Amino acid sequence: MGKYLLSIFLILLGFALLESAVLSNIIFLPVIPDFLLICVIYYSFQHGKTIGETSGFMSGLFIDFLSGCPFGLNCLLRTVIGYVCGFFNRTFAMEGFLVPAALSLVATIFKVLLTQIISLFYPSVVNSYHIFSLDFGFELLMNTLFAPVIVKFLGFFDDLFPLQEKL
Amino acid sequence: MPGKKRTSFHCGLAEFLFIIFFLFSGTMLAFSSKSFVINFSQIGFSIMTTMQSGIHAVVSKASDTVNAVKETSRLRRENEILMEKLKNYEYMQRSNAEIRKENERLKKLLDFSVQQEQKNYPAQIIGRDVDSLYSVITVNKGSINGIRKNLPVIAIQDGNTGIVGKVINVGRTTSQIMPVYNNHCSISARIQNTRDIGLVTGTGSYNTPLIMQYIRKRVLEELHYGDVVVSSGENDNYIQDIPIGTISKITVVDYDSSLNIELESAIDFSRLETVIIVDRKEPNERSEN
Repeated sequence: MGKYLLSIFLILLGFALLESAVLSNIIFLPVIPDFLLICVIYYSFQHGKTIGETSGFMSGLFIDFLSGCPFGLNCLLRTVIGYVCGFFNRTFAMEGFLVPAALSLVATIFKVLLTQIISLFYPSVVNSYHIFSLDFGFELLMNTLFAPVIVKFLGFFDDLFPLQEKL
Repeated sequence: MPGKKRTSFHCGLAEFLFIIFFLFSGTMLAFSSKSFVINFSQIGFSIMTTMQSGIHAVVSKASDTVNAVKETSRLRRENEILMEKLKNYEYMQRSNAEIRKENERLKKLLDFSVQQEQKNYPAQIIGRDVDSLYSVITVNKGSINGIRKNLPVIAIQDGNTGIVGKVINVGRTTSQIMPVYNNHCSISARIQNTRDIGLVTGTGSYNTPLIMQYIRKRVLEELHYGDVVVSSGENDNYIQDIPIGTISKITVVDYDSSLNIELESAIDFSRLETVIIVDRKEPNERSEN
């Protein structure tokens, strides 16, 4: 369990640094695909609530450190996403193209709705997408398209470092 | 039976962790706009951006190496052609032109840095915000270089100076800048010609115009498209008379006593690579004056 969480930590850290140090400098990208969200939904759907919310919390922490958003926002957001997605543990087979893409699409919409709910409680500091904005559309598209690739990549790591203790 | 116990235990752990994470995140979010005894955000920012800086350096190095290898092989091919024909100078001319251009750009930066009376720190942009809802820029200078929170940041592009934003978070070797287009950024500004004072705020993206508010309707006749808006220096955060942008659109709203003015930023943020962080309270040791 500890080793598995460590592997998740390192994978999430790697993706966070990839997003911030490499992708954020590609100026023609209107928004950066949210690889960390895809990781969180993968771990939640594959391994349940505990791993899901823990990976959500860790990924949120990384984004909060690197972003200009209020500290704690992404922790809160992604913990809830990980926990909720964890309810559907093993309900969907995270294989192929369609299932990961569809789950990523739903999770991205869920993230935006959740952000809008949180922004009601912290209206002056929390920004939220307009659901019909171009930026949101782009993020939705990129998360959907990248999800199968990321899921495949994470599946490879899951085979390398399998979770011994089932939760 | 044991199976049942196991399920309830794991369920409890998940809920327990959820409450812990939720409370931690909620508390941090509540404290994030105020100062707390331990600034987790700053500690984490320092650690993460140091790594970010490292990754950026590695990626840059790798990219430079790949480019260098490509460049070398291309040069070798060209050299062979040159050796054979001894007449194709185009590539060298182009290279010279690029170097000259870069030299000019750096010279302008250096001239500005020397001419400034205040101490200033040129810094390179190493990252932008990962969350498109927020807009911050990370640079490679931090507290060990003398950077402090709230220092104004400017840049020179094509020989023109413009305001970039201000420092909002300082790590050991890196800092975060809130650019003028951030929707939490407000700058006290003046229209250069008429000297009317207003407030410039961002709209969240460098692609969208800045907004200038609180300019009274009576000055409408005196305003023109392309008029320069500069920092007023009144709130003591920014240096006086540094261009923020130029007027691109003026809207008159019936129910409002002031004009709604849109500005095109003086800085093209999509091309911005280096910035200058200015410390207004310290004299410039490199200054020629």
